[in-house]
Amino acid sequence: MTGIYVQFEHLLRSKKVASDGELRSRLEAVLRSQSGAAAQKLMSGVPVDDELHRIEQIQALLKFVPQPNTATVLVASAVAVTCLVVACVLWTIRLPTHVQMSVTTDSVTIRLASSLNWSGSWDLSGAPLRMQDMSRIELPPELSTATLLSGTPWLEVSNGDFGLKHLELQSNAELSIKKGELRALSINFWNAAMLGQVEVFGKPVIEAGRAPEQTEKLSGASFEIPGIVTFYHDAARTPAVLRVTPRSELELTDLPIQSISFAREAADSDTSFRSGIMKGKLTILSTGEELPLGPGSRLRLDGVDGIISKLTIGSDGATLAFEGKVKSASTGSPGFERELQPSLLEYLYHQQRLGFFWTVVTFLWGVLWSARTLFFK
Amino acid sequence: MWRLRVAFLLLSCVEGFAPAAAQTSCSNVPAIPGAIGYQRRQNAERCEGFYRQEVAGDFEFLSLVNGPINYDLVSDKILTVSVPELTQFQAPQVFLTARALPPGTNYRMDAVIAPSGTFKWPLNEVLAPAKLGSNSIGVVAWINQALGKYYVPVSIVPENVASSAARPPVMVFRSSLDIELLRWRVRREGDGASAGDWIRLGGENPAIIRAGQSVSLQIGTQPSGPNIVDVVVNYTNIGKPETQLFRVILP
Repeated sequence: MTGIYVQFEHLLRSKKVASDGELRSRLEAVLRSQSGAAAQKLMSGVPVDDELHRIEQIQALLKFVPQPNTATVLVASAVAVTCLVVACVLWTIRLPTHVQMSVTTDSVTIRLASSLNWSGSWDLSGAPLRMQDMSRIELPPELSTATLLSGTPWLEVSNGDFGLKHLELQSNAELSIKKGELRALSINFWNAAMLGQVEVFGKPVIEAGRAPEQTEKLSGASFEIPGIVTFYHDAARTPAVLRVTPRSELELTDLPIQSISFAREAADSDTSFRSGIMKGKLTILSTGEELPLGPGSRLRLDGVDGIISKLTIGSDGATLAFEGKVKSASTGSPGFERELQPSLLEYLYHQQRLGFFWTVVTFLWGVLWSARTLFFK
Repeated sequence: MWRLRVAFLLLSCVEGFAPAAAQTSCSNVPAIPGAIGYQRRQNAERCEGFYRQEVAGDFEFLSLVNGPINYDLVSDKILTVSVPELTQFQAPQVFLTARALPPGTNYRMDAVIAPSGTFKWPLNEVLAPAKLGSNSIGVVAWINQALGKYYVPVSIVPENVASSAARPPVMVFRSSLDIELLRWRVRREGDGASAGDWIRLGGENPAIIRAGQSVSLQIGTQPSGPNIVDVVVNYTNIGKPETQLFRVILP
């Protein structure tokens, strides 16, 4: 009995005891040695009452020696750093998002994800119609014996009644609509085949040629029966151009698209391009954030996969309603862009249904666990 | 092994493993339920059946066939549809659509076949159960070219019946509005000088063509090759006539 006190005394007086931690580890070492010795004795059939008494005393002493907190601090720090890193990652990673927008613009360029086939009547007889850089133009037989013009043909119609009757665009076709001066529109097509028909009626003045510098000799026909001009552009990168001054609106519905841009070249601008947006509204559906779009709002959408439910083209430009997924969305001038797609953290914050789901799961688990405790224990 | 099977299934759903004619999508047509509803027919390269009419066209081109279609719903089992040679057009596929001529009978059959090929069309799956006789069916076939659809007249005869030679092609149209005057002409593509005078359907005093009534034009005496059929309709109570242009490859 006195031996253990001597050991304690030795421990407590030892100059090497520099800290509670060291004292505690030494006590634990004594405890282990006493436990080992007691076990040896017990297996040899010798009583171990003394050893057990000493062990009890050591355990009692250990309660008064404070535990070292280094490990706890380290673990707590590691957990804190991990939490910080996870939170930063959640805050930094931006997700592809669903957006919905309605925009009125004087410039829009879209790439179609599937083919377009429109038939109807779009009155273009407000001012001369000009088509150029086509691959083929086919004239009504009333105008010429050689009705098929190929090369880089062009055609201009003025006076009389004329309008677009049919338009077909293949998948991947790019279509650009830009409002010009005096309510004129310039519509460019490229990247995939395009086929259209213009109907002429009355006494239009028609000029055409196989190349920009060349003009065909055409009869000055009167169309009491409407004539059809067919125009075709192949998949060349050089755009076919249709300049029109519409008197009515062309409405295209359900256009799946792969890209959309509202930028147009501006010769007098520092940044070369400006936005054609006149007004509109963008809604980030994942978060419910609504962003009003004013004149010149620089909205950029990349990785677009969605549908234009309605595209209306008129003399005031184009109005469209779009809904779909975008990989990135930003607004603002170059160098001062603001990312619009939500971070993972923002996304989770706005997922009320997801939060409610986990609340329900936790609640049900709690109820079932309590029931188990109540009925089976 | 199961991964390979899944990959095969996925690939076959995308493309490439299906037969060429299966490229016709049956899903774009709102089918009626049941055995005679529009659907892909088992072991066949066609979609066929009845569908729900949603939007009707004003002026529809329903048929371009060499001579009249003639079959018996009881004794004939299969129709053979033959497409003329189209080697000079480099068209990989000929698209085929059959529709019912009576308005309100929303039947159609779609198939894709090889140029110069023949197509076997069983009567027992839809036509016989629905009692759609030979005077109720129109068929158009076309190839896609730069300037759009080029229609080709097909021959349709019951299996084991020889096709009678040189039957003139007949175009069949239907309008959802009353037509007071229909004029037409045929010209060679690219040759304005070949455009003749307009032919008035029904002569100098034509009767009104009622909405839904089918109209036949026999275009047999024209030169072979690509031709353009101009059809002009004056609808009742609509001042401005309307011109439709159909490209037809005549044999």
